[in-house]
Amino acid sequence: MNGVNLIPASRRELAARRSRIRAWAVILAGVAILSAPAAAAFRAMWYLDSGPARLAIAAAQTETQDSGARLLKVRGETAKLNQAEMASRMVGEHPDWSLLLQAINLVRGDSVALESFDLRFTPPVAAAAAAPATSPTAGTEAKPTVAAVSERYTVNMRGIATDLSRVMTFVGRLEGLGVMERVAMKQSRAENNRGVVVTGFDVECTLADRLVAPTPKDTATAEVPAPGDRP
Amino acid sequence: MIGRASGYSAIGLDVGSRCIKAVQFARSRKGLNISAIACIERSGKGERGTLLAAEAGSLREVFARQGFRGRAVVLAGAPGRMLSGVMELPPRSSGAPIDQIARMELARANGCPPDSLELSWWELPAGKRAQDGTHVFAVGLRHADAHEAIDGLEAAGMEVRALDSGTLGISRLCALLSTSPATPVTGLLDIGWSGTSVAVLLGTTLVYQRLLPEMGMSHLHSRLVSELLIDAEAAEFVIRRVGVSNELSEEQRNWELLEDARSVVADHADSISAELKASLSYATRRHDATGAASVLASGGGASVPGLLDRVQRASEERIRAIRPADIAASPKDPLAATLAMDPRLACAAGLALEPTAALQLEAATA
Repeated sequence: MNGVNLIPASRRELAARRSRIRAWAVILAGVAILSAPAAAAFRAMWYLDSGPARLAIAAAQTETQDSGARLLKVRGETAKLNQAEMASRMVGEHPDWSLLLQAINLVRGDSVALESFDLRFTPPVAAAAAAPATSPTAGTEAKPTVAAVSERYTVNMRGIATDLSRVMTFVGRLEGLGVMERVAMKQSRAENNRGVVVTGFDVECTLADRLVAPTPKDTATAEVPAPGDRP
Repeated sequence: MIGRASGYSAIGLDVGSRCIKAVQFARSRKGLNISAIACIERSGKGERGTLLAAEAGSLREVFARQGFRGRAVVLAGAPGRMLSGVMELPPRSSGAPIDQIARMELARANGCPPDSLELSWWELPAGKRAQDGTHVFAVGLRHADAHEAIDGLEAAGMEVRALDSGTLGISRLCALLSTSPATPVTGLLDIGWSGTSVAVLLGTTLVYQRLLPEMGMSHLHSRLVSELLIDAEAAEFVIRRVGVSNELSEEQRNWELLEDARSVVADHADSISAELKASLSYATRRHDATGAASVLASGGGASVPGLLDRVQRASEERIRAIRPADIAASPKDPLAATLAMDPRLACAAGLALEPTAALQLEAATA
Protein backbone atom coordinates (compact mmCIF):
# COMPACT_ATOMS: atom_id res chain seq x y z
CA MET A 1 0.00 0.00 0.00
CA ASN A 2 1.61 3.20 -1.05
CA GLY A 3 -1.39 5.44 -1.34
CA VAL A 4 -4.89 6.00 0.00
CA ASN A 5 -7.82 8.10 -1.04
CA LEU A 6 -9.69 9.49 1.93
CA ILE A 7 -12.23 11.47 -0.04
CA PRO A 8 -15.63 10.50 1.42
CA ALA A 9 -17.29 7.73 -0.54
CA SER A 10 -20.43 9.80 -1.12
CA ARG A 11 -18.34 12.54 -2.63
CA ARG A 12 -16.43 10.12 -4.84
CA GLU A 13 -19.68 8.59 -6.00
CA LEU A 14 -21.02 12.01 -6.88
CA ALA A 15 -17.84 12.84 -8.76
CA ALA A 16 -18.00 9.52 -10.60
CA ARG A 17 -21.60 10.23 -11.56
CA ARG A 18 -20.63 13.67 -12.85
CA SER A 19 -17.82 12.09 -14.76
CA ARG A 20 -20.16 9.55 -16.31
CA ILE A 21 -22.60 12.30 -17.26
CA ARG A 22 -19.79 14.27 -18.86
CA ALA A 23 -18.62 11.17 -20.70
CA TRP A 24 -22.09 10.45 -21.98
CA ALA A 25 -22.52 14.07 -23.02
CA VAL A 26 -19.29 13.82 -24.99
CA ILE A 27 -20.38 10.50 -26.50
CA LEU A 28 -23.77 11.86 -27.47
CA ALA A 29 -22.21 14.97 -28.94
CA GLY A 30 -19.82 12.78 -30.88
CA VAL A 31 -22.62 10.59 -32.14
CA ALA A 32 -24.57 13.68 -33.15
CA ILE A 33 -21.57 15.09 -34.97
CA LEU A 34 -20.91 11.78 -36.71
CA SER A 35 -24.53 11.16 -37.60
CA ALA A 36 -25.15 14.66 -38.97
CA PRO A 37 -23.29 14.03 -42.27
CA ALA A 38 -24.94 10.63 -42.55
CA ALA A 39 -28.34 12.19 -42.03
CA ALA A 40 -27.52 14.87 -44.60
CA ALA A 41 -26.37 12.21 -47.06
CA PHE A 42 -29.48 10.15 -46.43
CA ARG A 43 -31.66 13.18 -46.95
CA ALA A 44 -29.83 14.05 -50.14
CA MET A 45 -30.24 10.48 -51.39
CA TRP A 46 -33.91 10.54 -50.48
CA TYR A 47 -34.36 13.82 -52.29
CA LEU A 48 -32.62 12.47 -55.40
CA ASP A 49 -34.45 9.16 -55.33
CA SER A 50 -37.82 10.80 -54.90
CA GLY A 51 -37.63 12.63 -58.25
CA PRO A 52 -39.81 10.15 -60.22
CA ALA A 53 -42.26 9.93 -57.35
CA ARG A 54 -42.51 13.70 -57.19
CA LEU A 55 -43.11 13.82 -60.96
CA ALA A 56 -45.78 11.14 -60.65
CA ILE A 57 -47.44 13.07 -57.83
CA ALA A 58 -47.37 16.27 -59.89
CA ALA A 59 -48.82 14.43 -62.91
CA ALA A 60 -51.54 12.92 -60.75
CA GLN A 61 -52.36 16.34 -59.31
CA THR A 62 -52.57 17.83 -62.82
CA GLU A 63 -54.75 14.93 -63.95
CA THR A 64 -56.98 15.43 -60.95
CA GLN A 65 -57.35 19.11 -61.78
CA ASP A 66 -58.13 18.27 -65.41
CA SER A 67 -60.65 15.66 -64.32
CA GLY A 68 -62.27 18.21 -62.04
CA ALA A 69 -62.52 20.67 -64.89
CA ARG A 70 -63.96 18.00 -67.18
CA LEU A 71 -66.45 17.04 -64.51
CA LEU A 72 -67.61 20.63 -64.17
CA LYS A 73 -67.95 20.86 -67.90
CA VAL A 74 -69.96 17.64 -68.05
CA ARG A 75 -72.16 18.88 -65.23
CA GLY A 76 -72.86 22.08 -67.18
CA GLU A 77 -73.65 20.11 -70.30
CA THR A 78 -75.86 17.79 -68.27
CA ALA A 79 -77.76 20.76 -66.93
CA LYS A 80 -78.22 22.11 -70.43
CA LEU A 81 -79.40 18.71 -71.68
CA ASN A 82 -81.82 18.48 -68.77
CA GLN A 83 -83.26 21.83 -69.69
CA ALA A 84 -83.50 20.77 -73.34
CA GLU A 85 -85.16 17.56 -72.32
CA MET A 86 -87.66 19.44 -70.20
CA ALA A 87 -88.44 21.77 -73.10
CA SER A 88 -88.72 18.89 -75.49
CA ARG A 89 -90.96 17.03 -73.08
CA MET A 90 -93.16 20.05 -72.65
CA VAL A 91 -93.54 20.38 -76.37
CA GLY A 92 -93.63 16.68 -77.15
CA GLU A 93 -96.18 15.82 -74.51
CA HIS A 94 -98.60 18.56 -75.53
CA PRO A 95 -102.23 17.30 -75.65
CA ASP A 96 -103.86 16.48 -78.91
CA TRP A 97 -106.55 19.21 -78.85
CA SER A 98 -108.29 17.88 -81.93
CA LEU A 99 -109.62 15.03 -79.83
CA LEU A 100 -111.11 17.54 -77.39
CA LEU A 101 -112.65 19.56 -80.17
CA GLN A 102 -114.16 16.43 -81.66
CA ALA A 103 -115.54 15.43 -78.28
CA ILE A 104 -117.06 18.87 -77.71
CA ASN A 105 -118.50 18.80 -81.18
CA LEU A 106 -120.10 15.47 -80.46
CA VAL A 107 -121.74 16.58 -77.20
CA ARG A 108 -122.83 19.90 -78.73
CA GLY A 109 -125.69 18.42 -80.66
CA ASP A 110 -127.74 20.37 -83.18
CA SER A 111 -129.25 22.89 -80.79
CA VAL A 112 -126.00 24.53 -79.73
CA ALA A 113 -123.68 26.57 -81.86
CA LEU A 114 -120.29 27.74 -80.66
CA GLU A 115 -119.17 31.24 -81.52
CA SER A 116 -115.80 31.26 -79.84
CA PHE A 117 -113.44 28.76 -78.28
CA ASP A 118 -110.64 30.06 -76.06
CA LEU A 119 -108.02 27.67 -74.68
CA ARG A 120 -105.69 29.10 -72.06
CA PHE A 121 -102.72 27.45 -70.40
CA THR A 122 -101.85 28.14 -66.82
CA PRO A 123 -98.13 27.53 -66.17
CA PRO A 124 -97.23 24.84 -63.65
CA VAL A 125 -97.28 25.84 -59.99
CA ALA A 126 -96.14 23.87 -57.02
CA ALA A 127 -99.05 22.35 -55.28
CA ALA A 128 -99.38 22.86 -51.57
CA ALA A 129 -97.73 20.06 -49.73
CA ALA A 130 -100.46 19.57 -47.20
CA ALA A 131 -103.42 20.37 -49.43
CA PRO A 132 -105.29 17.28 -50.63
CA ALA A 133 -105.53 17.27 -54.33
CA THR A 134 -109.06 16.63 -55.49
CA SER A 135 -109.67 14.85 -58.72
CA PRO A 136 -113.40 14.45 -59.24
CA THR A 137 -112.97 13.38 -62.80
CA ALA A 138 -110.61 10.60 -61.86
CA GLY A 139 -113.11 9.46 -59.29
CA THR A 140 -110.39 8.63 -56.79
CA GLU A 141 -109.06 10.51 -53.86
CA ALA A 142 -105.64 11.96 -54.32
CA LYS A 143 -103.05 11.08 -51.84
CA PRO A 144 -102.49 13.87 -49.35
CA THR A 145 -99.27 15.60 -48.66
CA VAL A 146 -97.99 15.09 -52.16
CA ALA A 147 -95.91 18.01 -53.19
CA ALA A 148 -96.23 18.20 -56.98
CA VAL A 149 -96.13 20.60 -59.82
CA SER A 150 -99.36 20.89 -61.80
CA GLU A 151 -100.37 22.67 -64.98
CA ARG A 152 -103.85 23.65 -65.88
CA TYR A 153 -105.82 24.38 -69.04
CA THR A 154 -108.93 26.51 -69.11
CA VAL A 155 -111.41 26.47 -71.98
CA ASN A 156 -113.83 29.35 -72.34
CA MET A 157 -116.59 28.71 -74.83
CA ARG A 158 -119.15 31.21 -76.03
CA GLY A 159 -122.14 30.25 -78.07
CA ILE A 160 -125.83 30.25 -78.61
CA ALA A 161 -128.55 27.67 -78.19
CA THR A 162 -132.16 27.43 -79.04
CA ASP A 163 -133.13 27.62 -75.41
CA LEU A 164 -131.58 27.45 -71.98
CA SER A 165 -132.39 23.79 -71.46
CA ARG A 166 -130.19 22.94 -74.41
CA VAL A 167 -127.40 24.90 -72.82
CA MET A 168 -127.76 23.00 -69.56
CA THR A 169 -127.81 19.74 -71.49
CA PHE A 170 -124.59 20.78 -73.22
CA VAL A 171 -123.02 21.61 -69.89
CA GLY A 172 -124.05 18.29 -68.48
CA ARG A 173 -122.65 16.43 -71.47
CA LEU A 174 -119.38 18.33 -71.11
CA GLU A 175 -119.12 17.18 -67.51
CA GLY A 176 -119.90 13.71 -68.72
CA LEU A 177 -116.86 13.66 -70.94
CA GLY A 178 -114.77 13.02 -67.86
CA VAL A 179 -111.88 15.14 -68.88
CA MET A 180 -113.19 18.33 -67.30
CA GLU A 181 -112.43 19.00 -63.69
CA ARG A 182 -114.95 21.68 -63.49
CA VAL A 183 -117.62 22.97 -65.93
CA ALA A 184 -119.16 26.27 -64.94
CA MET A 185 -121.93 28.17 -66.55
CA LYS A 186 -120.61 31.63 -66.40
CA GLN A 187 -123.39 33.51 -68.04
CA SER A 188 -126.59 33.01 -70.04
CA ARG A 189 -128.55 35.66 -71.81
CA ALA A 190 -131.18 36.18 -74.39
CA GLU A 191 -129.85 37.36 -77.74
CA ASN A 192 -131.43 38.39 -80.92
CA ASN A 193 -129.55 36.78 -83.71
CA ARG A 194 -130.69 37.72 -87.19
CA GLY A 195 -134.18 38.45 -85.88
CA VAL A 196 -134.40 35.19 -83.96
CA VAL A 197 -134.34 35.16 -80.16
CA VAL A 198 -131.75 32.64 -78.93
CA THR A 199 -130.07 31.96 -75.63
CA GLY A 200 -126.43 33.06 -75.47
CA PHE A 201 -124.13 31.49 -73.00
CA ASP A 202 -120.54 31.54 -71.62
CA VAL A 203 -119.15 28.32 -70.26
CA GLU A 204 -115.80 27.93 -68.53
CA CYS A 205 -114.27 24.52 -68.38
CA THR A 206 -111.24 23.61 -66.38
CA LEU A 207 -109.42 20.58 -67.51
CA ALA A 208 -108.18 18.31 -64.82
CA ASP A 209 -104.88 19.40 -63.34
CA ARG A 210 -102.01 17.51 -64.82
CA LEU A 211 -99.13 16.79 -62.53
CA VAL A 212 -95.82 17.04 -64.16
CA ALA A 213 -92.36 16.01 -62.99
CA PRO A 214 -90.73 18.83 -61.06
CA THR A 215 -87.73 20.57 -62.52
CA PRO A 216 -84.45 20.20 -60.66
CA LYS A 217 -84.86 23.61 -59.05
CA ASP A 218 -88.22 22.53 -57.67
CA THR A 219 -86.93 19.42 -56.01
CA ALA A 220 -85.93 21.43 -53.02
CA THR A 221 -89.54 22.18 -52.20
CA ALA A 222 -91.64 19.53 -53.99
CA GLU A 223 -91.61 15.79 -54.34
CA VAL A 224 -92.23 13.78 -57.46
CA PRO A 225 -95.91 12.62 -57.40
CA ALA A 226 -96.91 9.03 -57.40
CA PRO A 227 -97.83 7.55 -60.77
CA GLY A 228 -101.47 7.35 -59.75
CA ASP A 229 -101.68 11.06 -59.28
CA ARG A 230 -101.25 11.78 -62.93
CA PRO A 231 -104.57 12.70 -64.80
CA MET B 1 -2.09 10.27 -13.39
CA ILE B 2 0.87 9.93 -15.65
CA GLY B 3 0.23 7.85 -18.68
CA ARG B 4 -3.00 9.52 -19.66
CA ALA B 5 -3.33 11.13 -23.01
CA SER B 6 -2.26 14.49 -21.65
CA GLY B 7 1.08 13.11 -20.43
CA TYR B 8 0.89 15.23 -17.28
CA SER B 9 0.39 13.99 -13.76
CA ALA B 10 -2.07 15.43 -11.31
CA ILE B 11 -0.75 18.37 -9.30
CA GLY B 12 0.67 17.20 -6.00
CA LEU B 13 -0.37 19.76 -3.41
CA ASP B 14 1.22 19.93 0.03
CA VAL B 15 -0.29 22.70 2.13
CA GLY B 16 2.24 23.51 4.83
CA SER B 17 2.00 25.91 7.72
CA ARG B 18 4.10 28.54 5.96
CA CYS B 19 4.17 27.52 2.32
CA ILE B 20 1.94 25.85 -0.25
CA LYS B 21 4.05 23.44 -2.27
CA ALA B 22 2.97 22.08 -5.64
CA VAL B 23 4.69 19.78 -8.14
CA GLN B 24 3.58 18.35 -11.46
CA PHE B 25 5.39 15.76 -13.55
CA ALA B 26 5.36 15.08 -17.25
CA ARG B 27 6.49 11.95 -18.98
CA SER B 28 8.65 12.13 -22.05
CA ARG B 29 10.68 9.62 -24.01
CA LYS B 30 13.71 10.40 -21.86
CA GLY B 31 11.81 9.71 -18.66
CA LEU B 32 10.12 11.71 -15.97
CA ASN B 33 10.34 15.51 -16.00
CA ILE B 34 9.26 18.10 -13.51
CA SER B 35 6.94 20.15 -15.71
CA ALA B 36 5.99 22.70 -13.06
CA ILE B 37 6.99 23.36 -9.49
CA ALA B 38 6.01 26.11 -7.08
CA CYS B 39 6.41 27.09 -3.46
CA ILE B 40 3.96 29.82 -2.51
CA GLU B 41 4.41 31.67 0.78
CA ARG B 42 1.18 31.78 2.77
CA SER B 43 0.12 35.30 3.64
CA GLY B 44 -1.81 34.38 6.76
CA LYS B 45 -1.36 31.85 9.46
CA GLY B 46 -3.04 28.66 8.39
CA GLU B 47 -3.09 25.13 9.66
CA ARG B 48 -1.03 22.58 7.82
CA GLY B 49 -3.17 20.75 5.29
CA THR B 50 -6.01 23.26 5.36
CA LEU B 51 -6.35 26.11 2.89
CA LEU B 52 -8.04 29.39 3.69
CA ALA B 53 -10.86 30.35 1.34
CA ALA B 54 -8.93 33.29 -0.11
CA GLU B 55 -5.87 31.12 -0.73
CA ALA B 56 -7.92 28.44 -2.49
CA GLY B 57 -9.63 31.07 -4.63
CA SER B 58 -6.35 32.44 -5.97
CA LEU B 59 -4.59 29.09 -6.29
CA ARG B 60 -5.83 28.18 -9.75
CA GLU B 61 -4.72 31.50 -11.18
CA VAL B 62 -1.31 31.09 -9.56
CA PHE B 63 -1.03 27.57 -10.95
CA ALA B 64 -1.87 28.75 -14.45
CA ARG B 65 0.78 31.46 -14.14
CA GLN B 66 3.36 28.96 -12.93
CA GLY B 67 2.78 26.63 -15.88
CA PHE B 68 0.72 23.87 -14.27
CA ARG B 69 -1.59 21.96 -16.61
CA GLY B 70 -5.08 20.76 -15.87
CA ARG B 71 -7.03 21.13 -12.67
CA ALA B 72 -6.62 17.70 -11.10
CA VAL B 73 -5.04 17.82 -7.66
CA VAL B 74 -3.86 15.20 -5.20
CA LEU B 75 -4.03 16.75 -1.78
CA ALA B 76 -2.38 15.72 1.47
CA GLY B 77 -4.63 15.58 4.50
CA ALA B 78 -3.72 17.74 7.47
CA PRO B 79 -1.29 15.65 9.59
CA GLY B 80 -2.88 16.86 12.80
CA ARG B 81 -6.30 15.64 11.69
CA MET B 82 -5.30 12.32 10.20
CA LEU B 83 -6.30 9.32 12.28
CA SER B 84 -3.93 6.38 12.21
CA GLY B 85 -3.07 3.35 14.22
CA VAL B 86 -1.84 -0.22 14.19
CA MET B 87 -4.51 -2.75 15.09
CA GLU B 88 -4.60 -6.43 15.74
CA LEU B 89 -7.64 -7.92 14.09
CA PRO B 90 -8.94 -11.48 13.72
CA PRO B 91 -7.19 -13.54 11.08
CA ARG B 92 -8.59 -13.37 7.56
CA SER B 93 -9.24 -17.11 7.64
CA SER B 94 -11.88 -16.54 10.34
CA GLY B 95 -14.14 -14.80 7.82
CA ALA B 96 -14.62 -11.86 10.17
CA PRO B 97 -15.52 -8.49 8.59
CA ILE B 98 -12.08 -7.00 9.04
CA ASP B 99 -12.97 -3.74 7.35
CA GLN B 100 -15.87 -3.16 9.71
CA ILE B 101 -13.83 -4.11 12.73
CA ALA B 102 -10.99 -1.81 11.69
CA ARG B 103 -13.45 1.02 11.26
CA MET B 104 -14.99 0.41 14.65
CA GLU B 105 -11.58 0.21 16.30
CA LEU B 106 -10.27 3.41 14.73
CA ALA B 107 -13.50 5.25 15.55
CA ARG B 108 -13.42 4.05 19.12
CA ALA B 109 -9.77 5.04 19.57
CA ASN B 110 -10.45 8.56 18.27
CA GLY B 111 -13.89 9.05 19.84
CA CYS B 112 -15.96 9.55 16.71
CA PRO B 113 -18.90 7.70 15.11
CA PRO B 114 -17.76 4.89 12.78
CA ASP B 115 -19.75 6.19 9.84
CA SER B 116 -18.32 9.68 10.11
CA LEU B 117 -14.86 8.82 8.83
CA GLU B 118 -13.22 7.51 5.69
CA LEU B 119 -10.86 4.66 6.26
CA SER B 120 -8.14 2.77 4.47
CA TRP B 121 -5.98 0.03 5.84
CA TRP B 122 -3.38 -2.47 4.81
CA GLU B 123 -1.86 -5.58 6.32
CA LEU B 124 1.50 -5.38 7.98
CA PRO B 125 4.22 -7.95 7.46
CA ALA B 126 4.00 -10.75 9.99
CA GLY B 127 6.35 -10.11 12.92
CA LYS B 128 7.29 -12.01 16.01
CA ARG B 129 4.04 -11.26 17.79
CA ALA B 130 1.76 -11.42 14.84
CA GLN B 131 1.12 -15.12 14.80
CA ASP B 132 -2.38 -15.04 16.24
CA GLY B 133 -4.17 -12.47 14.12
CA THR B 134 -4.00 -9.95 11.30
CA HIS B 135 -2.04 -6.78 12.03
CA VAL B 136 -3.13 -3.82 9.99
CA PHE B 137 -2.13 -0.19 9.69
CA ALA B 138 -5.23 1.96 9.35
CA VAL B 139 -5.39 5.56 8.15
CA GLY B 140 -8.57 7.58 8.36
CA LEU B 141 -9.97 11.08 8.14
CA ARG B 142 -13.23 12.48 9.44
CA HIS B 143 -15.69 13.40 6.74
CA ALA B 144 -16.02 16.93 8.08
CA ASP B 145 -12.27 17.49 7.81
CA ALA B 146 -12.22 15.99 4.31
CA HIS B 147 -15.06 18.23 3.14
CA GLU B 148 -13.34 21.26 4.62
CA ALA B 149 -10.12 20.46 2.78
CA ILE B 150 -11.85 19.79 -0.55
CA ASP B 151 -14.60 22.42 -0.64
CA GLY B 152 -12.32 25.43 -0.99
CA LEU B 153 -10.35 23.90 -3.84
CA GLU B 154 -13.41 22.71 -5.71
CA ALA B 155 -15.01 26.13 -5.30
CA ALA B 156 -11.91 27.54 -7.01
CA GLY B 157 -12.45 25.18 -9.95
CA MET B 158 -9.90 22.52 -8.97
CA GLU B 159 -10.73 18.83 -9.08
CA VAL B 160 -9.44 16.97 -6.01
CA ARG B 161 -8.69 13.54 -7.41
CA ALA B 162 -7.43 12.07 -4.15
CA LEU B 163 -6.99 13.04 -0.53
CA ASP B 164 -3.88 11.16 0.49
CA SER B 165 -1.52 10.91 3.40
CA GLY B 166 1.60 13.03 3.04
CA THR B 167 3.73 10.27 4.50
CA LEU B 168 2.46 7.82 1.88
CA GLY B 169 3.29 10.38 -0.79
CA ILE B 170 6.87 10.56 0.45
CA SER B 171 6.96 6.76 0.60
CA ARG B 172 6.12 6.65 -3.11
CA LEU B 173 9.06 8.93 -3.78
CA CYS B 174 11.29 6.70 -1.63
CA ALA B 175 10.13 3.60 -3.50
CA LEU B 176 11.70 5.04 -6.64
CA LEU B 177 14.99 5.65 -4.83
CA SER B 178 15.32 2.35 -2.96
CA THR B 179 17.35 0.52 -5.54
CA SER B 180 19.06 -1.79 -3.07
CA PRO B 181 16.93 -4.65 -1.78
CA ALA B 182 19.53 -5.15 0.96
CA THR B 183 18.09 -2.19 2.84
CA PRO B 184 14.47 -3.12 3.39
CA VAL B 185 14.06 -0.77 6.33
CA THR B 186 13.69 2.88 5.45
CA GLY B 187 13.09 5.64 7.91
CA LEU B 188 11.23 8.72 6.77
CA LEU B 189 11.95 11.94 8.57
CA ASP B 190 9.76 14.86 7.55
CA ILE B 191 10.91 17.89 9.51
CA GLY B 192 8.24 20.50 8.96
CA TRP B 193 7.52 23.88 10.49
CA SER B 194 4.64 22.77 12.68
CA GLY B 195 5.91 19.30 13.54
CA THR B 196 8.14 16.42 12.63
CA SER B 197 6.88 13.13 11.33
CA VAL B 198 8.81 9.91 11.80
CA ALA B 199 7.79 6.91 9.73
CA VAL B 200 9.26 3.51 8.95
CA LEU B 201 8.88 1.58 5.71
CA LEU B 202 9.45 -2.13 5.40
CA GLY B 203 10.15 -2.43 1.72
CA THR B 204 7.45 -0.16 0.37
CA THR B 205 4.95 -0.78 3.17
CA LEU B 206 4.42 1.84 5.81
CA VAL B 207 4.55 0.03 9.15
CA TYR B 208 5.08 2.83 11.61
CA GLN B 209 4.26 6.52 11.82
CA ARG B 210 4.50 9.05 14.59
CA LEU B 211 3.84 12.77 14.60
CA LEU B 212 5.98 14.91 16.90
CA PRO B 213 4.45 18.40 17.10
CA GLU B 214 7.04 19.65 19.59
CA MET B 215 9.85 18.86 17.16
CA GLY B 216 8.75 21.16 14.40
CA MET B 217 10.94 24.03 13.25
CA SER B 218 8.50 26.46 14.82
CA HIS B 219 9.43 25.00 18.18
CA LEU B 220 13.11 25.52 17.45
CA HIS B 221 12.33 29.07 16.32
CA SER B 222 10.51 29.79 19.56
CA ARG B 223 13.39 28.41 21.61
CA LEU B 224 15.87 30.60 19.78
CA VAL B 225 13.76 33.69 20.36
CA SER B 226 13.10 32.96 23.99
CA GLU B 227 16.50 31.58 25.07
CA LEU B 228 18.78 33.90 23.09
CA LEU B 229 16.49 36.90 23.37
CA ILE B 230 16.75 37.59 19.66
CA ASP B 231 14.01 38.76 17.34
CA ALA B 232 12.09 36.47 14.99
CA GLU B 233 14.06 37.49 11.91
CA ALA B 234 17.36 36.68 13.61
CA ALA B 235 16.01 33.31 14.70
CA GLU B 236 14.91 32.67 11.15
CA PHE B 237 18.41 33.56 9.95
CA VAL B 238 19.97 31.12 12.42
CA ILE B 239 17.72 28.32 11.19
CA ARG B 240 18.26 29.00 7.50
CA ARG B 241 21.94 30.07 7.40
CA VAL B 242 23.74 28.97 10.54
CA GLY B 243 22.27 25.76 11.90
CA VAL B 244 24.96 23.45 13.25
CA SER B 245 27.23 23.68 10.25
CA ASN B 246 30.94 24.40 10.61
CA GLU B 247 31.09 26.15 7.26
CA LEU B 248 30.51 29.71 8.44
CA SER B 249 31.46 33.09 7.08
CA GLU B 250 33.78 35.41 8.97
CA GLU B 251 30.89 37.63 9.99
CA GLN B 252 28.99 34.65 11.36
CA ARG B 253 31.99 33.42 13.31
CA ASN B 254 32.27 36.78 15.06
CA TRP B 255 28.66 36.70 16.23
CA GLU B 256 28.70 36.62 20.01
CA LEU B 257 25.62 34.38 20.29
CA LEU B 258 26.87 31.88 17.74
CA GLU B 259 27.71 29.07 20.10
CA ASP B 260 24.52 29.52 22.06
CA ALA B 261 22.49 29.38 18.88
CA ARG B 262 24.34 26.31 17.60
CA SER B 263 23.79 24.68 20.94
CA VAL B 264 20.02 25.19 20.72
CA VAL B 265 19.89 23.83 17.16
CA ALA B 266 22.12 20.86 18.10
CA ASP B 267 19.89 20.09 21.04
CA HIS B 268 16.87 20.11 18.71
CA ALA B 269 18.69 17.81 16.28
CA ASP B 270 19.62 15.45 19.08
CA SER B 271 16.01 15.26 20.17
CA ILE B 272 14.98 14.34 16.65
CA SER B 273 17.79 11.77 16.52
CA ALA B 274 16.60 10.14 19.69
CA GLU B 275 13.06 9.86 18.43
CA LEU B 276 14.25 8.52 15.10
CA LYS B 277 16.48 5.94 16.69
CA ALA B 278 13.74 4.79 19.00
CA SER B 279 11.22 4.53 16.20
CA LEU B 280 13.54 2.56 13.95
CA SER B 281 14.49 0.26 16.77
CA TYR B 282 10.86 -0.38 17.67
CA ALA B 283 9.80 -1.04 14.11
CA THR B 284 12.65 -3.37 13.27
CA ARG B 285 12.15 -5.37 16.45
CA ARG B 286 8.40 -5.57 16.06
CA HIS B 287 8.52 -6.73 12.50
CA ASP B 288 11.68 -8.76 12.88
CA ALA B 289 13.43 -6.79 10.14
CA THR B 290 17.14 -7.27 9.59
CA GLY B 291 19.71 -5.27 7.73
CA ALA B 292 20.90 -1.71 7.85
CA ALA B 293 18.34 1.03 7.72
CA SER B 294 18.55 4.17 5.66
CA VAL B 295 16.78 7.36 6.49
CA LEU B 296 15.38 9.82 3.98
CA ALA B 297 14.68 13.31 5.23
CA SER B 298 12.32 15.87 3.80
CA GLY B 299 10.74 19.11 4.84
CA GLY B 300 12.23 22.49 5.65
CA GLY B 301 14.28 21.08 8.51
CA ALA B 302 16.30 18.97 6.08
CA SER B 303 17.71 22.20 4.64
CA VAL B 304 19.03 23.52 7.96
CA PRO B 305 22.83 23.58 7.60
CA GLY B 306 24.46 20.65 9.34
CA LEU B 307 21.27 19.37 10.94
CA LEU B 308 21.09 16.08 9.04
CA ASP B 309 24.79 15.40 9.72
CA ARG B 310 24.15 15.92 13.39
CA VAL B 311 21.13 13.60 13.33
CA GLN B 312 23.12 10.97 11.45
CA ARG B 313 25.95 11.03 13.95
CA ALA B 314 23.59 10.88 16.87
CA SER B 315 21.32 8.18 15.49
CA GLU B 316 24.08 6.18 13.82
CA GLU B 317 21.91 5.76 10.74
CA ARG B 318 22.62 6.67 7.12
CA ILE B 319 20.56 9.70 6.40
CA ARG B 320 20.14 11.86 3.34
CA ALA B 321 17.73 14.49 2.10
CA ILE B 322 15.22 13.62 -0.58
CA ARG B 323 14.28 16.10 -3.30
CA PRO B 324 12.02 16.08 -6.37
CA ALA B 325 15.09 16.31 -8.58
CA ASP B 326 16.22 12.91 -7.29
CA ILE B 327 13.58 11.10 -9.35
CA ALA B 328 12.92 13.45 -12.26
CA ALA B 329 14.75 15.82 -14.54
CA SER B 330 14.79 19.37 -13.25
CA PRO B 331 13.19 22.15 -15.25
CA LYS B 332 15.40 24.56 -17.17
CA ASP B 333 14.15 27.62 -15.36
CA PRO B 334 16.76 28.45 -12.65
CA LEU B 335 14.22 29.27 -9.99
CA ALA B 336 12.28 26.09 -10.68
CA ALA B 337 15.53 24.11 -10.72
CA THR B 338 16.36 25.49 -7.30
CA LEU B 339 12.95 24.44 -6.01
CA ALA B 340 13.49 20.98 -7.46
CA MET B 341 16.49 20.64 -5.16
CA ASP B 342 14.51 21.73 -2.09
CA PRO B 343 13.56 18.90 0.33
CA ARG B 344 10.47 20.89 1.32
CA LEU B 345 8.83 19.87 -1.97
CA ALA B 346 9.43 16.14 -1.58
CA CYS B 347 5.96 15.53 -0.17
CA ALA B 348 4.26 17.41 -3.02
CA ALA B 349 6.33 15.45 -5.53
CA GLY B 350 5.30 12.19 -3.91
CA LEU B 351 1.65 13.19 -3.99
CA ALA B 352 1.92 13.95 -7.70
CA LEU B 353 3.01 10.36 -8.15
CA GLU B 354 -0.33 8.69 -7.74
CA PRO B 355 -0.07 5.08 -6.57
CA THR B 356 -0.56 3.49 -9.98
CA ALA B 357 1.93 5.78 -11.64
CA ALA B 358 4.46 5.26 -8.87
CA LEU B 359 4.21 1.49 -9.21
CA GLN B 360 4.64 1.71 -12.97
CA LEU B 361 7.71 3.88 -12.56
CA GLU B 362 9.07 1.57 -9.89
CA ALA B 363 8.71 -1.41 -12.20
CA ALA B 364 10.35 0.49 -15.03
CA THR B 365 13.28 1.48 -12.81
CA ALA B 366 13.76 -2.12 -11.64
